[in-house]
Amino acid sequence: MSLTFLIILALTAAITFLVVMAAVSLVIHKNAVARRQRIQRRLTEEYAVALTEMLMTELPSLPATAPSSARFRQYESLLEPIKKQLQSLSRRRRRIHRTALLEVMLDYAQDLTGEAADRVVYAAYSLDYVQELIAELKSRQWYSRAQAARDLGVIGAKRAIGGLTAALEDDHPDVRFQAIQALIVLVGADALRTIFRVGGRLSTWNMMGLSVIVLRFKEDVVPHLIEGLYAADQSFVLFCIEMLAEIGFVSAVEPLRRIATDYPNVVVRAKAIEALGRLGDERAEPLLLKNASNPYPVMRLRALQALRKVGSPAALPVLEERLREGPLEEKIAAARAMARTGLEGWTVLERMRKEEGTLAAAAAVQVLEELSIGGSA
Amino acid sequence: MTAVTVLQFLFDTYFVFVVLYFLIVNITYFILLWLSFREIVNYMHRNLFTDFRSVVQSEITPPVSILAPAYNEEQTIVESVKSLLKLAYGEYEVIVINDGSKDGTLARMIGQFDLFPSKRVYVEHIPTQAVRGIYRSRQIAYQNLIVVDKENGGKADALNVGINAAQFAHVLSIDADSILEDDALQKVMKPFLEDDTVVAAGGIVRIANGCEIVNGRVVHVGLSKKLLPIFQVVEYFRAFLSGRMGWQAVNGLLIISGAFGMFKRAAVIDVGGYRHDTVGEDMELVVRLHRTMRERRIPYRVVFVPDPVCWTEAPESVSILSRQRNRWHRGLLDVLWMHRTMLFNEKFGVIGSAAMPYFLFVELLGPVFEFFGYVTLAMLWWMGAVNVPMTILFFIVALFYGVMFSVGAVLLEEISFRRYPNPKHLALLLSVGVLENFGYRQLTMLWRIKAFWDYARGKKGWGSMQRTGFARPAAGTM
Amino acid sequence: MGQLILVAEDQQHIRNLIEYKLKNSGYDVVAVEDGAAALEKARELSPALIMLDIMMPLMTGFEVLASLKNDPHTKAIPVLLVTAQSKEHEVLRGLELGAEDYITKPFSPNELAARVKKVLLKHTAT
Repeated sequence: MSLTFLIILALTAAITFLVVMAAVSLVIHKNAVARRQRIQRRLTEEYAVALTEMLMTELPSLPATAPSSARFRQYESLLEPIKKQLQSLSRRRRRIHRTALLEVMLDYAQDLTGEAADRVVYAAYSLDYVQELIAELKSRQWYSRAQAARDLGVIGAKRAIGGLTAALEDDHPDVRFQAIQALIVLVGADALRTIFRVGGRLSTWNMMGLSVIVLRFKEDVVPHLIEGLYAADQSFVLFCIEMLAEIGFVSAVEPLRRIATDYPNVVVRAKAIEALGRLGDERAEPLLLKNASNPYPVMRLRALQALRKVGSPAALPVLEERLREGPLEEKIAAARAMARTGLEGWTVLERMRKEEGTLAAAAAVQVLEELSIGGSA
Repeated sequence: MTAVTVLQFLFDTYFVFVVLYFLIVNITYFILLWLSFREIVNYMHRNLFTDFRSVVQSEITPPVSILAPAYNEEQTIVESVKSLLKLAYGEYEVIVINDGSKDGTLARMIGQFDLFPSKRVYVEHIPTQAVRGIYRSRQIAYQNLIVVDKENGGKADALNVGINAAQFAHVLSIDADSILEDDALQKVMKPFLEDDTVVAAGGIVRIANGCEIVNGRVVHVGLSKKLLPIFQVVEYFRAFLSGRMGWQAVNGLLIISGAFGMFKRAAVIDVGGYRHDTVGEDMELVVRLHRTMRERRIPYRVVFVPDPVCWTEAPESVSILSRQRNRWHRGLLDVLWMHRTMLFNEKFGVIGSAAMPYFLFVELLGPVFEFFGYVTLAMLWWMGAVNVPMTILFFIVALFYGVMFSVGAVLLEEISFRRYPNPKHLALLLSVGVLENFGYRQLTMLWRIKAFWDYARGKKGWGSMQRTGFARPAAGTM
Repeated sequence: MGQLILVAEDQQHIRNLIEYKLKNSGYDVVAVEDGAAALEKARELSPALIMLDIMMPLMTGFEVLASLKNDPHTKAIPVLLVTAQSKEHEVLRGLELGAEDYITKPFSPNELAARVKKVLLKHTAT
């Protein structure tokens, strides 16, 4: 009895000891990290100075006919001091120094263009950073892969396009998204073609991030988005529909109509219907009217919501039917669509409100109230 | 066999039981701590690659309905609502549910926000007490505010009304006195947007006592001058950072704080909303979601967001704290009783085989076992049968464990969010992790034991229908 | 002795780089890292030109610009704004507030130097 107890006690004591050791080592580790950060900061300063010199030194101008290798030779000579210093270090210290240098280069790469940026890119190649980062894209740790993708984009290393394209199919969503962003930085809007073709599994969260980037290009991306409607991955199809609706370009109406009729998945079709409404193009009305009595509830609802933007008095019979027969959301959507058609729709709503006690009347009342305060919900 | 040998046998069995229990509990804590550690490291890594600004900038950010139940909050309601309307997010609405307040809560809001009775359609998806009216503002600045006035029915009932009235697909339940961080909505929406199967997400609740609060925002994190709230800070760390984070790693998170929890509206309506016949309504809803989803074999996830999103004022007096703990424990007991069929039922996967037993044996019965331990010790002492060195050793080991998990939780905070930049605060928190084992721990143990007694007597309410809005870090405190 | 240029930019590396570039081009440079310091130095030194980053701690570039243009002593100093890419409204607002010219990040140091030169030439001519 007491032997078992002793054994257990010994075990627990051992664990406790381990934990105390762990706590102590954590404190030591924390100090070490702080120290390393201090060193890193100092090194960063040092390399910032060296790199500034390398970037800003005026070079003798070359004739326009000179091959690019001539310029590269000039750059190489500027890099000489940095390379020499790195070579003089032990392996361990060299790694620390290289990390600091990379940090500075990324900082500069982010904010510079023109000839100075060319020098940064050259330095990244010549100091083997690009190669190293491309290798990192295959690291076992997902965050190393994500970091490498991001850094390659910032540096602007075109040689990484292949690796980044492969990273579009990475298992980790954050790596995929960093690869998307990096490719757009490297190639511009044209990268979207590759991304839509190769990429996949874009979460709503990432769609939000990507939307901010894509919308910056404005009309330039419309052709890519239309092409993207035929992407193999459904999440990208949804994304392209959403963006086309957001940009509101007329040439999107036809392709969207095709998607709304033919796409196999109903969620995508419903999204296309919604987009047609947001585009506000009258040509979509017949299709919307047809779908207002689609057997799928989601299709009906989206069609009714879309009619709020493009509905004409011709839509009133269908809308009234939905206001009477549909579930509440459809009633409200139908009533709002009616309100938009002007006096005729308003008359119908006024008539409906008199049928007190019905849900249809309640919907009509709510929509009339929305009209009166000018707000929408 | 003589009476003495029988007694001896009983003692031995008891002893083995105590040691085994002690061992299993601590191994469980250890596993939870380890899981939390891994989850938090991963979470921090992911945050490095997350641009939360895009949520605010993007046009396609899904809208959210915030549900804030209010009961007799005349003094604070206007400020609370104003700060809720200023969160950094795309589109969202704030639904304040006036739960039949006896003071001027509603009148204050009508005056301040220029409200008028709206004829917005209200459908009772979940049955509740009668709704007296829905109000909206005439002013453009408050277009996103909706006030629902209803008969008193308790917090659960008020939240159900809010769920009925909500327009959007995601609803956030909060306490009217919760102080939200600016980016709370972005942080807690992320899991839903990354994974369609997420049905609920809880956020971390932190203690605001001692923090500087300006315009409904925590601007400077500090610690209270009083000891009682500091004890609770460590307790909350343990409960949230090492308890819930660990459970979410295996999709076994059973509790989402009433002070901050985001849900898919359709899922909540589907299971019938909050139950108003229990004091543990927030935990009960989550357990029911688990249960329904598992019964229907629908893939789903309940997640926990460790980023600090919500702050709450913790009780500073012993009497209020004891009532709070008593209520939490009754809630826990009630929920476990309601869903007792899930216990050890392999149909419910990790919930039935790990999470429920953990809550039963560790969280619920822990104080009872501990109490019996003290009683037995006293008895043995009285009989002169105590092996003194052994007992002392046992206590030291027990103490070490207690300290270890508190320290572990504080360290988790230190490696991740570092909201307590002052090293003095950190040292204070660590020493409180030791100190709490002498007195505070025993005190909470007694309050929780008393909860059994109160429950047996059929005391189910919040204690005179008084809704104090305090968050429940609940179980996960030893 | 060249003309004095005040550079306000919060990112240290870029600040150093701009300073280096302008010094190389023959100007005297004073560099500060936040808006409040920029305003103070502008009043104290009355530089020939001020380069102002929009996104800065303590005071944004806009606030500094507005204060400069309200003060008769600093009103005449030409200001060159540095804005983030694709922020059209920022550029417009800056020009409206009386900035002489702007440059967007990422920028080319050579172009920057050229613009500085042009602005200074224009101002010494008038």
